[in-house]
Amino acid sequence: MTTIPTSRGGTGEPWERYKHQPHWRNNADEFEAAKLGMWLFLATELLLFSGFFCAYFVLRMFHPDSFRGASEYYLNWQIGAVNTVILLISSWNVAVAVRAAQLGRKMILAVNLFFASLCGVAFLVIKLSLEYIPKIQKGEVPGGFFSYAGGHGYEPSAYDPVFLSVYWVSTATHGFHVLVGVLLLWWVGWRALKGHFGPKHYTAVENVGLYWHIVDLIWIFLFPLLYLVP
Amino acid sequence: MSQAHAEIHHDEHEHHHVSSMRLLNTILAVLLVLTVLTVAVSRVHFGESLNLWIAVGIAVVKASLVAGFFMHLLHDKAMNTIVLFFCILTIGFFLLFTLVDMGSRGMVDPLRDGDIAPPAIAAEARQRAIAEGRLDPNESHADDHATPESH
Repeated sequence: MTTIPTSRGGTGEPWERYKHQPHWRNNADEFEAAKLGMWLFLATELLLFSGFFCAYFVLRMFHPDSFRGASEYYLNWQIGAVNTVILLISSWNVAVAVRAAQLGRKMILAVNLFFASLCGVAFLVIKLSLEYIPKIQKGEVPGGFFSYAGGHGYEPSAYDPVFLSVYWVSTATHGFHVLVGVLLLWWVGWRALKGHFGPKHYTAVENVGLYWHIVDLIWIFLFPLLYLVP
Repeated sequence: MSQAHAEIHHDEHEHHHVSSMRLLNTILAVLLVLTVLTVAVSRVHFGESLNLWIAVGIAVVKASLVAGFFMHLLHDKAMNTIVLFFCILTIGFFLLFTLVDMGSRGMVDPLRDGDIAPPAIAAEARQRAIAEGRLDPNESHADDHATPESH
């Protein structure tokens, strides 16, 4: 009993020798169970963010004018739109990467994973350099830390700090998820280069991909609600 | 030996749906078009709540495309979709009951504080209370421009 022969002939890549854990009947069962576990985790992620969305809707209902004014004044929708496009493209990369793993195309898999992680880094750089750091310097920070004095003919309303609280808590939590996603993409990208993933075994690619997609999916809701408050 | 053989046999019958590049490219294109659309629509004023519903509606369509095709729920075991469905149902109940509660507080009792009832409903309840003689019209009420510290 040495290596298990596969229908693809075999170049001796680690994924071809992958053996499921002993408590599973086969690779397919292990894969499906891991994916179901990932979906359960993603459900808890959605529940976490639903709290922020609830706060957004309630506070917006109470202070509609403050929210509209604050969104228009403090946030630049162009930055949000660029970040939306970046995340959508990276999601496409991850979907292409999963396809490449299924077809056993190692380089396409690795390149797409690294490009997706690059998109994540670009997202974070844009967020920090164009939004977070200038906002901290100007005192456009949440709740009691708010110290923005106004200017450019803008008078902060009493509920601007409330809008900024929703903005900061939801985008910073999302940003943390992007950071975790980037690290995970590097991890699977590195393993992909070592030949760990192929048609017979690509569980980690699939599940990190699902995580990356849910991060994109949450931003799809955050962008219009925060940056484009109608 | 026979056990190993059975496993190989099973693995070969493992069917993973492989999305075509054409499909993935189309989905990305549609998502980008919908992003442009959501920005464009927000520049047009259809009225406070209609604009919000349109923005959320477009986001739901985009999210469905991501979940259905990029996360391949459409070609997956139904269990994963069921997990997502019940998660969204739970979020729906959470948002619905919270918003119905918070949104209707001023209806029962004429709350004079804009902080614990949405301004439009609080104002309407106040007018009704004054008309029915339950509230002194000269009594001051906290307005939306008070500082948060004063509460």
